Amino acid sequence: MGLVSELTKERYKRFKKIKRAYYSLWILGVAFIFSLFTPWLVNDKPLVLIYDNGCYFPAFKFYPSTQFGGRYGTEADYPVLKDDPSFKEKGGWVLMPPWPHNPLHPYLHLEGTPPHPPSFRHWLGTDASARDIMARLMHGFRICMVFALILACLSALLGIVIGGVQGYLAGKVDIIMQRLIEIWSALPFLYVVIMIGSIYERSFKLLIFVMLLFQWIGLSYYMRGEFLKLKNMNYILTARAVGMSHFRIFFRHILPNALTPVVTIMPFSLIGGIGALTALDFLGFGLHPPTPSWGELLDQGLKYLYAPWIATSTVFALFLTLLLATFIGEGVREAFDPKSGDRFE
Amino acid sequence: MNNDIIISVEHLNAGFTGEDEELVMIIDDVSFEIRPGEFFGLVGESGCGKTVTALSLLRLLPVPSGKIISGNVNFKGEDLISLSREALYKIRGQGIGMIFQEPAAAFNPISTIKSQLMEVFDYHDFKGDPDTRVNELLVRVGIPDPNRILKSYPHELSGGMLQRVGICLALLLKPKLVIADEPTTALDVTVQAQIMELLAELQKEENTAILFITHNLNLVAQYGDRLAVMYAGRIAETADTESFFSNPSHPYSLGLLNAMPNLKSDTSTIVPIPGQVPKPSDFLEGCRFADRCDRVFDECKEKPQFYQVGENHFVSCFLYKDMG
Repeated sequence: MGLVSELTKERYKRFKKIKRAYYSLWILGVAFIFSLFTPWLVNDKPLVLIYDNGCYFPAFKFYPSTQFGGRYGTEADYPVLKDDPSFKEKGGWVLMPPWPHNPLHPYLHLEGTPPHPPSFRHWLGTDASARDIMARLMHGFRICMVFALILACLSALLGIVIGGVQGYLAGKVDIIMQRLIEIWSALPFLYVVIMIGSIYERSFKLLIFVMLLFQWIGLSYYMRGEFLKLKNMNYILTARAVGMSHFRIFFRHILPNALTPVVTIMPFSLIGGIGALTALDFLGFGLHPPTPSWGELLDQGLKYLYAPWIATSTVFALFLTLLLATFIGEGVREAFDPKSGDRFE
Repeated sequence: MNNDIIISVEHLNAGFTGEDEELVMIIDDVSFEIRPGEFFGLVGESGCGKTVTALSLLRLLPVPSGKIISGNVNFKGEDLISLSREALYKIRGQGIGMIFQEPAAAFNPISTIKSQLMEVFDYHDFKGDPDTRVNELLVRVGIPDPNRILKSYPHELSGGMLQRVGICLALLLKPKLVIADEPTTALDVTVQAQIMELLAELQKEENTAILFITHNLNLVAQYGDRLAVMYAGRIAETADTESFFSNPSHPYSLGLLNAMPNLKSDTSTIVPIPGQVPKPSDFLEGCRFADRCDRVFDECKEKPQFYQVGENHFVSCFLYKDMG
């Protein structure tokens, strides 16, 4: 099988023609790739530090503050260190990241009480714990996107296998599994999250696991339908007639033909994942504080309505992300399933 | 078992269970034999069980609704009906090849011809170089530039081209028998003639037997060595082609021949057989042609045996009871 078939090229061409989807993909893609580097680019540790004729990389490696003339074995407080006269005397020089704020660091020395309004140093202000909102938004974006992507991929995998097995075997297996899935899908998701979250420690992995328990169901319906349809195609009979096994037919002849719904649903699954994580964080059942999170920021925004910069920036970021993802999803669907404007006269 | 016989089908019964879980027998007591290198035609109207017979031979009936009730299919000393799955998979493709009716639907739309042909070698033993075999055979089936075809996707090729590839796929592993299920029905007449010529030539060259399933008696008259006429799930008549056309015996066979336009005959009228093939659930207990037959008599309420009317010529009709 060719890695990129003609049809795929055709679809890509169509997708490219849908400008807003194409640009959305670029923007979101670049933003996501950038966000993967936020631990180094959006942080308060210098990328490069020169001190006493030595060259250090604090963003990537731990150095005790004694190394730079400090008194303790703990990590140096670089924002303070870089303006320290005794540091500068020894030829100290730092290259700070483009956004030199740690999302977990409270800037308590700022004037007034937190949340601090936007200023030259903190463009979007700080939250109620005096942490930089911009830094938290960017880190939150990364966590959110990684979460949603992993969730979307795993649930697609599970949905494909379960839906595929149902569709391919059909008959009694299908009916029994379908009923079980219906029962399963009727479980109230939020209660399960709360219960499991209270028994085990809430973590990134646990949240993905719990979300995964329910997220695959939607796609499995589509895959079941596709497999039901495709398994009776003539080319499957041909494949059987030359002695191909069920396993091989499942994965090599039906699955590739059934991937259209997977690809078209993927962006919307991503949107669902982002929305779900934000909602859980907002309700306080999500990731552990102080993990940077949009949901938690929204919660703060609601609590501190007199500090509108919290809610405004978060809502805007959320809106923009979901909008871009929706545009992409719309474009993908359109590219895979072009609707002709014609009808019979 | 006779060494001169490549496949022998004995008393095969197969049917489908419908929505109401009731088994409807489609083919009833079908028996025939095919000799090595023979062109055997299985002729009958639509819905008479030809395709079910063909699929049953390789246990390709859709499960769980399709079911082989009883009977044997002896192929090279093994009974395909009771064979283990693994062994059966080996015979599919390698021992028995299949060509299907609609070439356009017989290939996976999203992989290239090459990958679909080469894939066959992945799970069958083949002595020799797969690439060479594919290229040689493609040229042999009349594809002038194999390399272009191999890179193509099924939708880029015409029906005739695809059927050539289909024949190539069936013959790839040099099977002893090829089941061709109406391979020319979906093609237009000029292409049909080419494909038939090709099949006949390849059959001689590769020394494969062909089980040719068709509703077109003309094709069998032209290419067939032997034939069986099927009606409503049963075999009505089996004979050598020459014997059949010089002495068609079963009233149904006569009806079929009369219903064909014929340039040589004096009368220009076509005589249709009255009525139509019944639904499988309405098949008669006795002779199944009884309700459409103009020579029906009392005994036809029973199930007829096969009576010999000539060398290798058997008819399932009571009219010939006293001849043997």
